[in-house]
Amino acid sequence: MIDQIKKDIIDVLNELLDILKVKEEIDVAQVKVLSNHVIHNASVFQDEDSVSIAVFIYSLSKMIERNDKELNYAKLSSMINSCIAALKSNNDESFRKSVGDILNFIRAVDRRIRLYIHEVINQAQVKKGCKLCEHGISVARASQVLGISRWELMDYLGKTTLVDQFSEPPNVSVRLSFTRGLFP
Amino acid sequence: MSSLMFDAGPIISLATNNLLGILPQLKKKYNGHFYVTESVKRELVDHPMETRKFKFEAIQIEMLIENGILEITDTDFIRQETPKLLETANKIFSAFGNPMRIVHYAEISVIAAAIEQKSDAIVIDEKTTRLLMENPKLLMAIFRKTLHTSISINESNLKEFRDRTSSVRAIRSVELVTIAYESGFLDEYVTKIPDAKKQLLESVLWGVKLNGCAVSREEIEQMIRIEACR
Repeated sequence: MIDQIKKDIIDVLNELLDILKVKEEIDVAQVKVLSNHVIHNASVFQDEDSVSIAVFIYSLSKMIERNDKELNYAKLSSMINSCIAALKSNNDESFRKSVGDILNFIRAVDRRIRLYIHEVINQAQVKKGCKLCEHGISVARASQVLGISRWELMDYLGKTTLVDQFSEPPNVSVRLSFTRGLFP
Repeated sequence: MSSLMFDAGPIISLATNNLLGILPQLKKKYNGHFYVTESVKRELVDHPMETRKFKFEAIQIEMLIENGILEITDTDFIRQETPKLLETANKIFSAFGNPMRIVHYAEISVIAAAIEQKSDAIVIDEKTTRLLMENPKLLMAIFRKTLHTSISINESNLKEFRDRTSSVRAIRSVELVTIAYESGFLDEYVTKIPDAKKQLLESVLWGVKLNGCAVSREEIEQMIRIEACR
């Protein structure tokens, strides 16, 4: 794993631990911001570790938002600490296993609270894919990185204001005239 | 014979708006080939056929392929040229000394196929690939603004990419829909409500935008004004 990615993931996971410490006052918006921070790296490096951490944190934010009483915060924090320890000892394999364990833990909670975590994870993937597109990555490439279909991502992207945020100087009449010329 | 090379995006935009029916009429008016590459076909048909959500749309596209409205092009040139072009494109911009892989094989295969066929245009709703050909400075500005970091540019790769694609023009699904409107292919939807034709145009343009076509609100407003003056 590239050092910069490792450092950023450690920082983000430490911040997440800080947020989770005061479970009565967890700010879900803050958790989502952390997820967006990791996706910056995913835009640049498109590594599966940044993507999986971003998807995990976003899914976690949705769980906290909907029903946080079922979450065992002590266990979750201990698992996050395992991820950090694995990263610090440069054990990428162990880190990925720990991330997998966390996702399984979330899935197990879901079986009790029936949030349909696959839907939550899918939603997280689409959201993070949208973020990649916001950063200038193509829709097809973003779909590939997140492991979702282009259909799903386009369906979501169209409902955002992304295109209007960085619109090109309009050359509508030029493009339209050219197209008319193709269909005489 | 003349041809248009379709990326997956515009066909997805049309399919999700129930507008695939304009393609046979447009093709007749165009009097040339409407092509998709093998990797685009995989995105349009093969992948959604494995899911539930967009399966019916995929079946409708498969019908267009079986009826010869959309033809598949798969040549040695595309298979050899696409990876080269992709490698060049994905090493134009770098952040933290790391090349940013910003585009995907399928999109680049559309460009490679268009180069081979000397197509009149590629039909692509996707903004990044289009900007790479038309306005890479804007793409650079987007990276800088959204990633909050310095972005370096490999001028040699950019020049190579632009030289290779200089003959390729791009249109989007919004332009196709507008031509269909102008040609009366959407007349069956003209109702008795006030300003029925304007309402119809507005509805289809916003429809494709809301289903992923990279067109701004301002551009749609301009299109409506242009059509009102015709």
